[in-house]
Amino acid sequence: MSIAVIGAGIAGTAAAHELARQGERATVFHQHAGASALYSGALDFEPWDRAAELAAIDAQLGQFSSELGVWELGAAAARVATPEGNLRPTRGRDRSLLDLERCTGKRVAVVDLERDDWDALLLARSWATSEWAKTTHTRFEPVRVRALHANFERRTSAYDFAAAHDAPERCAFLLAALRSVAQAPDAWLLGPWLGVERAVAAELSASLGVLVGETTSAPGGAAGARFENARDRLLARVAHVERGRVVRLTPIGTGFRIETEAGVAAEFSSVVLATGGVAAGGIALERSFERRGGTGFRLSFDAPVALELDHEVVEGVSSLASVDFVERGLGTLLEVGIAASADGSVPGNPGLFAAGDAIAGRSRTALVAARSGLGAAQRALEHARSAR
Amino acid sequence: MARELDIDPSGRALDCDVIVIGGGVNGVGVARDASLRGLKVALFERNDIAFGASGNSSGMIHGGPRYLTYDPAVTHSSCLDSGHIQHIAPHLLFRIPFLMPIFKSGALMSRIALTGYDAFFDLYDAYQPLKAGKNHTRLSADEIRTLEPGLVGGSAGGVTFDEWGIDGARLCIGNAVDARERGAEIRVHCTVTEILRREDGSVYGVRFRDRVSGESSTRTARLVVNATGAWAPITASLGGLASTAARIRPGKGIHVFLDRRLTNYAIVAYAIDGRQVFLLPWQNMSVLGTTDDDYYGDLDHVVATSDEVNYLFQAVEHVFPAVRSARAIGTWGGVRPTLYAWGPNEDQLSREHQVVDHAQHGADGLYSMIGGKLASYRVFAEEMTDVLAKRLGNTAAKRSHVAPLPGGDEQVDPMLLVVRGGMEAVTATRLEYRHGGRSLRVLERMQQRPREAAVVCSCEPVTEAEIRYVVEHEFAHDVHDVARRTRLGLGACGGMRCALRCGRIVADATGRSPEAGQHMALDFLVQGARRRSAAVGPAQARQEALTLSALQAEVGSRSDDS
Repeated sequence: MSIAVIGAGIAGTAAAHELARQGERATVFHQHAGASALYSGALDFEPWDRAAELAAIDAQLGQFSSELGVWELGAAAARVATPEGNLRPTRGRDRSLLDLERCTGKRVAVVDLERDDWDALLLARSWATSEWAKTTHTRFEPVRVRALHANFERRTSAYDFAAAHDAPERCAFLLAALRSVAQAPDAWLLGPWLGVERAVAAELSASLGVLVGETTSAPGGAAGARFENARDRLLARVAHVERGRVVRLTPIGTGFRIETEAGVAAEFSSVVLATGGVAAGGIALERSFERRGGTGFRLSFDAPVALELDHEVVEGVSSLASVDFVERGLGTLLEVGIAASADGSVPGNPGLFAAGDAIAGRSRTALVAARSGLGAAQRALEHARSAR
Repeated sequence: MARELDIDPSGRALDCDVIVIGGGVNGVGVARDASLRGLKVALFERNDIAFGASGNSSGMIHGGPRYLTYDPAVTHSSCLDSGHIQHIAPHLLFRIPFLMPIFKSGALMSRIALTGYDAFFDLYDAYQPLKAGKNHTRLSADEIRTLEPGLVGGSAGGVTFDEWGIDGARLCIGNAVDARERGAEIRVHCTVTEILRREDGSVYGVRFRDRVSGESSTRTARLVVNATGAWAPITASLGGLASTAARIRPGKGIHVFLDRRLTNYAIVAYAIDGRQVFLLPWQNMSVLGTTDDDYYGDLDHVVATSDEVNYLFQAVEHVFPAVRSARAIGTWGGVRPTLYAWGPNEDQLSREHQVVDHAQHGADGLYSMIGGKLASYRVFAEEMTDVLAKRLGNTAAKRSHVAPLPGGDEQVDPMLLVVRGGMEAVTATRLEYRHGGRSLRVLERMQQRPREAAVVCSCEPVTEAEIRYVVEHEFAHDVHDVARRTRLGLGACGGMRCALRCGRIVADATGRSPEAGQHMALDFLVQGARRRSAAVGPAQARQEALTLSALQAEVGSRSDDS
């Protein structure tokens, strides 16, 4: 019997990678990434992410990052610009994001183009007034660049605009537009538009001889798409991929049986459960009047695991409607998850290990997810080997 | 009058004729009417214009068919006034045809009921010409199915009747802007902390605090009007009066809104307790409303609960089952200031508003406007202003029913905005709806500064030019205020795509720091999430979780920035 990973966000991908590194080709069940595909490109930083825990950046994590091929991890914090107008520290980032720590005291040109979701003037002003910019004497200046090919591009989604730059001729068009600016800056800062397949930021930097990079992405933007593409390439190398929705996880003897919606069924000696929290769709919210039984939260598939909130097992709620968020607070949506111990093992289910946002009360950062995926894989492997 | 009406106790001349407390529809209505008659007015609003019931109503200017059987004069005046409002603000009204399926068990009972309704609306039709309404139609079950295929249960047929919808907040803004342009002082985010009284008990002004700057000041006037709706008892107590002097029966009403129009007709349905509720196609969405429950909570924070939401869904589900799978994207809630009564339901009263002269409580010069509803605001304001004018010896003609509200004087073809401003058709139509003739002023901004043509909120949609316009000309001070005026950030994404951008623009337009802009945007998002959460379903719960995690990751806190 082998090992299964359910879910292919950051945690599930890290688990599959770690298993492969230790010589175990896992079966990964997934139907696209959930919350991971919506991340911003910044990996974490306390207290920015209000993380209760900081994942250790060690060789294991470094290896996963380099295998994935789209991240840059460093012990020293990078600093990236957000389209919300902040400059935030982060210990790791999508490598297309401009690291402003490498631009201190310099003149950063903010590309000013006519996209509806972009306002270079006010953004540059917002970044320039931050404490960091003032203390490091880093300047942010909007610079008009004719980088739109057609008028409709004003309103295409940020993702589509980014994907357009994967085409070499489009990339050349942008390069020419940047070159034509009279006074070349020390660095170019653009929105999250620099390709979802190719490393457009690196190509432009090499061609121009100055740093070129992006801000973070809004949910559903380029950073998440780049992760998904990199994830697909990685999983194709290291795992068996089973596309489709898992509907049931049943303990059988010394292992587990997994069934998918399409009717595929298989048995495994241990399982890494990395299906995400409410944001990813791994956990669903119900109303009693939908008559599916139960009220409040449930796992999105049948499995013998309990959900937990504030260290208490989630049971039915005493309301006809649902969880009352006015009373409980919306933080509930981020906190709820599987009751699991620190190493991911799920009480009462030897061989089952939870990872990532699926676990209750975890910090929802990319590095915490990756770290827990690596850890769960390690434990799953130990369990599978001892069972043999 | 023996006492000196025109000076304060220290002998100084009074600042103005009338102070209005409250920027709901009644308050701005009085401010406008009094200004139209040449009186000098100051208005103080604790929160924002249309913050309370006025901006959270069902958004209807109805003709009052419910009074028809026992007080047809009220129906007549309601319909007449609906016509007046159409005349002064034609851009703000939109037709809402109603469909009332008949539910009675048994063929005979059904036929009797249908004949009854048919006869009833025959009577109502006589008043429809007053408000440019269409006559009712009696429909067979088949015809109902053809018109609204999603409807079930109208097997005995039904009737249609015609009403008008309106954006209540825009109506209030229009009145407030007009009052200011006619000389009134309009102070938003200014709370009255005391109603000033002379030794003989008479009222001569108010002390107020600007909630933004924190500064306090006074303004004196010959007469003071308490038009604070559900806050009326609290306001009365600021003058040392017993709260029962301005007694109301506060009734909380909530609405749930869905992301699109599900029907062409407003559907009448019955809730579990027999109350009538509606599924309304309203602007570019559908609205379920409303509840009516006594409410004694915090009036500044009225939020729908999930059980109230369920009550509405349950009611509408009986006639329109698909509503369950539709996407609820938010709620709004307000508190009606209905007339106080112990026992009898307020809708049995033939008139739903009254002016209280507090001279009977020893506070000469103070008046409270109690009750009222959006549809009758102009008449109520006119009645109040008549009292004020008489008291002040003002004999100017009444003009609030003929003088157009801002933007109501000029018809603009949205296509003109498309052609001249390069706007998309939807953007132009929505802009023209909100601003009428004044959409040309927003267009002018765009032509002078093409950068402002950018669409900031794509759900509604709202341009940067409009945001700056409402900040400069319509008293908007933060993202909440902009949303109330433009419906920015109230679409499916709950402002995730636009609130921070809007905050930056508002901060820039009001000379505040980008950081202040972020804070106001965050406040809008957090408050909005609270209001949406009651309507949350499984799919929407994910949206909320995403909103939260994205917020957490992206905004963080600038105080950590070092």
